[in-house]
Formats: sequence, C-alpha cells, structure tokens
Amino acid sequence: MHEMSIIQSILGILKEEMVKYDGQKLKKVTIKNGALAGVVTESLTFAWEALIPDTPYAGVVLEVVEVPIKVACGQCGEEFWPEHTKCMPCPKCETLIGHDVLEGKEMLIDSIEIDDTV
Amino acid sequence: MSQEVTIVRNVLEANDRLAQELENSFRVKKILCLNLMSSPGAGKTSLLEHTLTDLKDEFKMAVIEGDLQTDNDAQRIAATGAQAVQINTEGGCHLDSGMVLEALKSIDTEGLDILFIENVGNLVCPAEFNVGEDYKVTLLSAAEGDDKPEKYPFMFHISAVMLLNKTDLLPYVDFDLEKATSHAKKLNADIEVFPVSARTGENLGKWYEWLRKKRAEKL
Repeated sequence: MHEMSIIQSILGILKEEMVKYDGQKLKKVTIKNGALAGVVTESLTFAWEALIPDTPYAGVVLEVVEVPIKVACGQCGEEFWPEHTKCMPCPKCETLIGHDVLEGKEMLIDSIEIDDTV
Repeated sequence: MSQEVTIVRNVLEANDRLAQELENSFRVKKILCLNLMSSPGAGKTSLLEHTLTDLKDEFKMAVIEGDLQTDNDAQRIAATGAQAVQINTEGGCHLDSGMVLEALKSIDTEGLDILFIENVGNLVCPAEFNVGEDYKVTLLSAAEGDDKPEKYPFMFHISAVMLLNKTDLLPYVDFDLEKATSHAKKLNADIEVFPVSARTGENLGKWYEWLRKKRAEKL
C-alpha cells in the first residue's frame, strides 16, 4: 500500500533531475526493486499509471528491475543467492543463520532515458 | 535518438533527509528515540502503558501515536501521565519523518529522555520509512504465529529488538518460541529477543534493562 508514497517520491526526484534537461522529453525510468524491500512490483506499476496522467510525465514508461537477495554466509563468507527466504543454507558450509545481506534491500532509481532529438 | 542517463538515487531519500534532521536533533538533546512496530493488536500500546508506568520515576518519556483513525491510544498513554500526541494518517499505512516532525511541535522535549514512536500497526510498510529513530523495535505476539519473521523478513531484518509478547498465552496457542527466534536471527544475527507479557508484566525487566543501557549510551 505504500507504493503510492514511493511513486510520489520518484516523481519528486524526476522533477529535480529533469531540470538538467530543459525542454527535453523523459521517455523511460528504470528503478531497482530489491526482493527484501517489501515493495510489490505490480502495485508500483499500478500506482505509476494512476498518478502520472496529472504530471508532466504522462506516457513515460516505468521499468521495474527486480533484484534478488544476495547474501554472504555469516560463517564462511561464501556469497550466494538463496533460493527462498524460508531456509537459506550456505552452499559451502551449510550454515543457516546470520548471513549478511549484500543485495536485495534496494529501492532506487537506476537510470532515466531522455529524448535528445529536440 | 535517446540518451540513457544513470542517476542511482534512493527513492526514499526525501524521507531519509528529514529522518537525518530528526536524528541530529535527538542527538543534540540526548533523547533516545525508538520506532515501535508490529501488526495491529500485538500489544504496542499495552507495552508502553506498562513501560511508562514502571519507569516513571527514572525517565521523562513521551509517545507519538500513529493510527489511521481515533485518539484512543493517545488517551491510554496520557492516562499514565506521559505526554502523548496522536497522528491520524487517515488511511496511510505508515508514519514518515514529515509527520513526526509536525507531531514533535506539540511535545515538550526539554529534559526528555526517551521518545517512543508507536507506528501504524502493519508488518510491511513502516519498515521502509525511517523516522529519526535510534533503533527499530518490533513486537510479535504469540497469538499471531511463530512464522511471522519468516513471512515478513524485512521488518525483522532491520530491527534491533524483537519483543515476543503475550507469553501468558503460550499454554493455549501453538507458538514455538525457539522457531520464531531462529527465523528472526536468520537474516539478523544481532537481533535481541525478549519474550514478555505486557498484560501480566512478566519478564519486562530485560526490556527495561535494554532501555536503560541504550539511554545511557546516548549521554
């Protein structure tokens, strides 16, 4: 449900960024959504579609790249992508708990695509 | 032709900036700020009622209450003698730093030792929004089931403390304390787990010890 607030934050950042590209048109926004971030991609897309018609970004494409969880084993340091969060044994030493999360928490705007034909 | 520009900006940076502002002001005023989160009905307000009453002579404490509607909780808190401010989010599923900054205007922070921010009951959204707290504290009650840390990993991943509440119900429900604890520690080896009952007051001593320790570290 907080996906609406997230899209509002994204629109705020786009407004700041687009000042640098005066007169040019924004075509696409790519954001990264980590599996642990608790943000549902479908809800984000829905919130985007609902909110942008009233902004200068009507028609802009939103691409959401889902980032899987990557951890480093708390015991031996082996880096791996657990299959699910229910049980995540280290493939090297089989330790189950205390892993460090390296990737999968992000919720960020990665890049924007701008039409420079103007 | 179009041009791709890499920007890499955290989506929640606007909230994080305000959170930083709050954090700085709490540091200067030496206030320990805790963001209390759980599902609805896990016992956040009951825990606070007990805590505010038992530690009344030790600390000056205040509470910011977040709920969709009503000021029921703020009234319960005010009955203990502590300052309480209610935020009604009118449907919003979490508190953010802007709301907390606004609510703080109604709190006398002079000589305040501990500020509790009781978030909207929800195990998902509040995890995402920092509100200037030193620590996130998550309550899980025995009635909810021991698989919650497994189902809502992010909340437990970022919390410093998990209070397992309603231990007085343990004889009546299928709740495995050890299972809940080991799930929580899976992604957060450092999480401190305190089984308590906010109803009977059982085992609250360890939670109070933790509060005393963390408050002392702010001085």
